[in-house]
Amino acid sequence: MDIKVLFLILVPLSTAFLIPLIDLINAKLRRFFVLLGILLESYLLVSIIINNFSELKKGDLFLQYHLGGWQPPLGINLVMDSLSLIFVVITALSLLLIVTYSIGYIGHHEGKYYVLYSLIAAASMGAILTADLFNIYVFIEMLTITSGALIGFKRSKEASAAAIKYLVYNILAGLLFFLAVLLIYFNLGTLNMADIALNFTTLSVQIKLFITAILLTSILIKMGIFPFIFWLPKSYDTAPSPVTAVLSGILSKVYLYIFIRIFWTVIGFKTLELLNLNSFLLNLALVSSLLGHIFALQSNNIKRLLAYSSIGHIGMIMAVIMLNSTAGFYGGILHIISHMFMKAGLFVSCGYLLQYTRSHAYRDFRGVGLKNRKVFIAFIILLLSMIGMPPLLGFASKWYVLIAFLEAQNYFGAFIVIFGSLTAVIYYLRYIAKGFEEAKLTDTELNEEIYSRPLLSVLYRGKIVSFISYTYTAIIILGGLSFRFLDLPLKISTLSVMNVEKYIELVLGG
Amino acid sequence: MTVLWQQFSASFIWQSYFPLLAGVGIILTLMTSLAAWKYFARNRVFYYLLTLLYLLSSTIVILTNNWFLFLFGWELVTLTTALMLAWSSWRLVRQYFIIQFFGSSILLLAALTAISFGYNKIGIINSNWLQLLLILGVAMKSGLFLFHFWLPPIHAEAPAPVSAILSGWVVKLGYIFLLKIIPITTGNKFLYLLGLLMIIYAGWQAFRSADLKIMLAYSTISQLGLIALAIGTGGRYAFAGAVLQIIGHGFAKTTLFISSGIWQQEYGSRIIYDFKNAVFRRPLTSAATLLSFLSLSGLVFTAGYNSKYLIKSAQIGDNFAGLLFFGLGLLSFLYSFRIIYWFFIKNQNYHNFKKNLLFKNNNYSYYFSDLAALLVGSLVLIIAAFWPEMPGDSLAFLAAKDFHLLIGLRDNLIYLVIVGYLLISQTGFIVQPRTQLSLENYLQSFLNFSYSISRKSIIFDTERIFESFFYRAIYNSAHKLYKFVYQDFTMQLLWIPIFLTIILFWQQLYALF
Repeated sequence: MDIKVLFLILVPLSTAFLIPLIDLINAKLRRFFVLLGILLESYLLVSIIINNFSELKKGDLFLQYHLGGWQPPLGINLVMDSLSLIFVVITALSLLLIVTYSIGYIGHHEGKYYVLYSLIAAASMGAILTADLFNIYVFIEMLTITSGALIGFKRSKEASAAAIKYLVYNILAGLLFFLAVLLIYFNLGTLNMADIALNFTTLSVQIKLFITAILLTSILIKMGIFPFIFWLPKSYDTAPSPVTAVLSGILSKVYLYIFIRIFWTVIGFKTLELLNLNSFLLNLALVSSLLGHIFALQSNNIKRLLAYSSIGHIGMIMAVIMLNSTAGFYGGILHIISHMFMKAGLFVSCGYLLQYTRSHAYRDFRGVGLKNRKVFIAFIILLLSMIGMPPLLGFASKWYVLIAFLEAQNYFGAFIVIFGSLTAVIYYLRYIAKGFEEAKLTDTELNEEIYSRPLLSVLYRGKIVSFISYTYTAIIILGGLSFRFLDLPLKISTLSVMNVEKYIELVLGG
Repeated sequence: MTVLWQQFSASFIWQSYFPLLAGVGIILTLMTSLAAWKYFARNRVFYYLLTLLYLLSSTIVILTNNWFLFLFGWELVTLTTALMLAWSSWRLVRQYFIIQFFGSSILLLAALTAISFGYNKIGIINSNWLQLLLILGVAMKSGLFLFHFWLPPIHAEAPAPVSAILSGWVVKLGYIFLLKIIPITTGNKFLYLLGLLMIIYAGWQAFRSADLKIMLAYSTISQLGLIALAIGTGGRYAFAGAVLQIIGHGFAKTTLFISSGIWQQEYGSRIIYDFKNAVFRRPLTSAATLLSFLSLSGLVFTAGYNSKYLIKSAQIGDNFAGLLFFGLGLLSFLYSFRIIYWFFIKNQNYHNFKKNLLFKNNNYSYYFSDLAALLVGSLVLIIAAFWPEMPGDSLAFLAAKDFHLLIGLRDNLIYLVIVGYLLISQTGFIVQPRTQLSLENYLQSFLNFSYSISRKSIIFDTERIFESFFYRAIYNSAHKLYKFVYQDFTMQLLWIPIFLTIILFWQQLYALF
């Protein structure tokens, strides 16, 4: 019983509901209040790590909290093991960075923005920490609604269209997830994940197949794997930069975590193997990755390009996880970490670079690098990391992914990793060259540029914005130099994924 | 390291004609390096280093039966010869290298296929289509028909000693390789047909050219066609003929390209109509040129006659093949004697022969090294003419072969009469020299053709080719796929039930495979 686990969810949740009250006192206070909330959360995390450091080192960190004092098979409980710890840490770090960025970036309707942002923070923490299937569904719906509202935050026509498309897809996915939860409850009479995992093998094959199919469809929609990639680029493009950073940096990783949790812990990889779905999913993810990279080649919009490259990377991560080997999880989780920071950093610096351009289009990218030279260099470093240049974090993670594919003798996967890097060189170099092109604006273009600006024309605190871009770059460089320090957390989290029996025993016995 | 060395030394073939051919390659390289001594004023040391590397690697290519060493050696030959072209221009290096690189990638694919089919060493290959694949592999490098397009522009624009190397020996490496893989009993029909087309087409082009070096380049293709035809025929005598043709044509063409460099220095032009009083200006160079052209034409008592006779005698189906070879001989006679006509007969003044000879009015002075190179070439040509069995055992059976010199003499006389009549009546077939024969123009005309279909015009620019052509191609193909995948919103949503159905019926689908 550790109440701090509960507070990890409660702190952002209560921040969200206290913001309107703070607004009554003083509107300026609310920024500091949000920052305070996220800092408190970080403090909680640090104290959890320090208190349990010896267990953490041995790899048997296990904290849980029973809500209302009900014991596991009956009540809702929150569980933190090594895998959830690593996800919570990187999510909290990202949340901290992006909220700081938002303070500099968001200049209007701040109250609504921070309420929604804190709700996302709470929901993502909850989805990672909970050990109850219905609870996961609740948090997923929370994430969907809040992020849908944030995608439409600009209130332009395109933004609304993208938000509606996003909501249609994701609510359908939520519905399917809910159906699966219902089916599991009617068949097994329990919603606790460990209890389901214990009894899932007793079900007949038909029901297993149906539950698996529904869950797969819903989670693949959420992650953006091939047949369901259509909502992703549009919503990444039209959302404000910090929201895109949240969507790409946090939400997709939370859904990857849920994917791992459900298909390894709850349903079990053996079920997938029994249904012969494992190689199908592996190849589907690789095809999705291939398509993402190919679509990125034809994109004339920098944010959409980054979105397509996200599809490519998430497909690659899912494929390497589907190998179900230690090396696969090691590389996959390392790439989750590195992609989280690279992509969020790219969107964040994009928000700075695109502040004065008419649109996100390729032709308007001209001269961007000359106007904001320092941020553009940070942007280039992040791009190089995406390509996989040696001293950066992207290289280390791609290296381990490649090794995992080669170890499993999956040459299609290895080809996709190399292909992704090569195509990335082509489509990123084009934008880098355009960024250094001399811009010669005519009067009409200038007028158009001035009058066509949407609401977010001016950055209120530009220094904070550029500072966060540098921070992301620094994380990538330092991570690339010292990715060996990630060895221990990666190993213990890999161990906790592979060792399902221990999780079940600890949840039900403790 | 020792293992590598053992593999290296064990992989050489010391039987058959290959040691002989390697020796010929060494002598040819010696000739070109002698000729290069005065030709290249700048960076001479570097040129000789490249020549040494080229010599080593080409010898390895000829002698080895190891696939890896073969490919590696040939890549090295390509690299060194490409760099030698830099004395002319870097543009030429780039073009040559790209073309050869394309050729070597096909060859690499073909070799890998052969290895995967169990041919661990280079040797006789029995499967027909594998032979075809390997022939296509060497096609680009050895200028087989339809893949020869790069040869005339590059061989004509290269510096004279380098074009002597390229035309005399580098293009023949492919045929030496084919000698190793094509079974001697059966031959290869496809290669036979290709050779025939090459002889006729390139012979006609050689006949239709006014530029000496371009004419030499086309005649190279024509003579290479004869080698291809011989290998395609199959049989002991045809293979011996191919070997003799490789040797004889190697020496003749090397001598001719070296002398073409001298002629170019002497007259400041490569157009054959400009060569006046050649005999008086440079008697020794004229003699070597004459001898080499006679050998190319296949006159009796020259090296060219021996090989052509051997190849002719190996043909089966007498009447038609006899007629065909009569025509082919006439063609080579025609283009060789046309040059001889312009060099030595037309507009020449042979009065006061001795006085003019002693009067030196050279633009380009005599150098010992040039003369030595020409002398070596002519000497070997004369030796090869009267001693076709060559040193070594591989061709020893030719000593007993009757070369039917009388029939050859009869044919040659008929040729001489026809050719003499044609040349004098048409005053040497004057044609306009081709302007700007270069690969850029080929590419430009190809682009013009392909864009004329879409009614757009484009001006070819090497620098922008990446930007406008390469990237556009990638972009458009990616966009096509994008358009295909991105249908309207209902179709996108329809993926959800489709995907669900696929997963639900996956067991049945899986059982199908």
